[in-house]
Amino acid sequence: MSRIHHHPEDDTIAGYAAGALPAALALVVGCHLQFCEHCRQRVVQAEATGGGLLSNVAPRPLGASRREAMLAALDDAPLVSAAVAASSNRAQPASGDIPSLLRPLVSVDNFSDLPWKTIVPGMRHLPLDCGEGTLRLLNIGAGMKMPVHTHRGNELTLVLQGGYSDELGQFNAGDFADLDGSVEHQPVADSDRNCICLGGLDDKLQFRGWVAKFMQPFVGL
Amino acid sequence: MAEDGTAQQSGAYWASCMQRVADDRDKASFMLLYDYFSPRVNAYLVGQGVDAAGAEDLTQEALLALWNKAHLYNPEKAAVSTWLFRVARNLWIDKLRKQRGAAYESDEGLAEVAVVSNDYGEADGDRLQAVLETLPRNQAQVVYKSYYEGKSHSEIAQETGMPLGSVKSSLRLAIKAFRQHFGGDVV
Repeated sequence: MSRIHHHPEDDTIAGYAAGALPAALALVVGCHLQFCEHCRQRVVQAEATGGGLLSNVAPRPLGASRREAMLAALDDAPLVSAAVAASSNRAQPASGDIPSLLRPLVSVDNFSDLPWKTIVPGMRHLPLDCGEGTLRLLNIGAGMKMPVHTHRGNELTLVLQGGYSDELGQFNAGDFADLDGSVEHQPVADSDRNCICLGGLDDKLQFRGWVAKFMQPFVGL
Repeated sequence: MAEDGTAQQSGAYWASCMQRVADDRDKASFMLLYDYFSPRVNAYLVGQGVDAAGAEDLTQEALLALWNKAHLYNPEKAAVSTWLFRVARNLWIDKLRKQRGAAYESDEGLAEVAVVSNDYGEADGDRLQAVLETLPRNQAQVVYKSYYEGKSHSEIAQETGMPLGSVKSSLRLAIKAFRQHFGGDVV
């Protein structure tokens, strides 16, 4: 298991814990959590903050009949068997396998079986319909050098297979790029295999799309 | 009805109530939890945009989950308020933002949350509120809109006119302040 060196920023973890991230971004974080015990703990801490805030919210009493209804429901409630407690161990995604959170969005088990679409030679992608924001898989050919670009604050990237290096270091499977506009970088995919990434973009703001940005240097959009 | 005039109880107190619910199916202990937390869960859900009747239905559902799954609760791992926050969050997401649900582990995962330092895990409302009140207005506002209204960073930027980068850095600074006060060593 390779060590993970690059993690989401605090505001991204808090947004996830609060339920405030659009689905496209939340899914990128959720997939990272499947790789990263450290960040699972960070999410629990952020949820503890949510719990503290919950204790502190100005109470809004329920209708008069609700308390009686709850008391009655306690007698009807089935005992949940302890078997349910058996942990559904979070298996770290095996290399080449699609993370379980993405399975409902694709119809295959393996990256190589996906219906990739070529953007330019050596670079393919696959848009995923998650219903909120823009989510896509990117498949970068081994050794390929990406154009120099910056990221926007509403964009998240997770390496799922292979790796790349840039000015910030080496990014391997599980590593998370939570970059803002202050970083300009030029990733180079590792030479031994294709690099597959998951990218999420919150398109609430009227920014130009992810592919357009990557494509600009190639085709002069 | 809830005795909201009483002093806020500690996380340890609520954990002991949960323990009695788990061990003895003790209704009196459960109703103490119900009276305290249900108006708060209800307020949280209304803040997220759930309509009044729907919020009461979801509140009942969240508290009933507390009763039904009490045996899964581990006071070493999370405060009652943290557990309820997670349940309530998942419920409103399921109702209003179903797409986001795919990004979270199922409820069964509640039993196996990671161990957190007790200092932070039992951060109670009073202490958090004290920290919130020391924060600059824009930081408190971003925390409020994220946690109580479920607004994305972009939506907060649109609503407040703050640049997106400022929304993010404000939230980071607020979290840093929480961490300094509660001594969390993991984040």
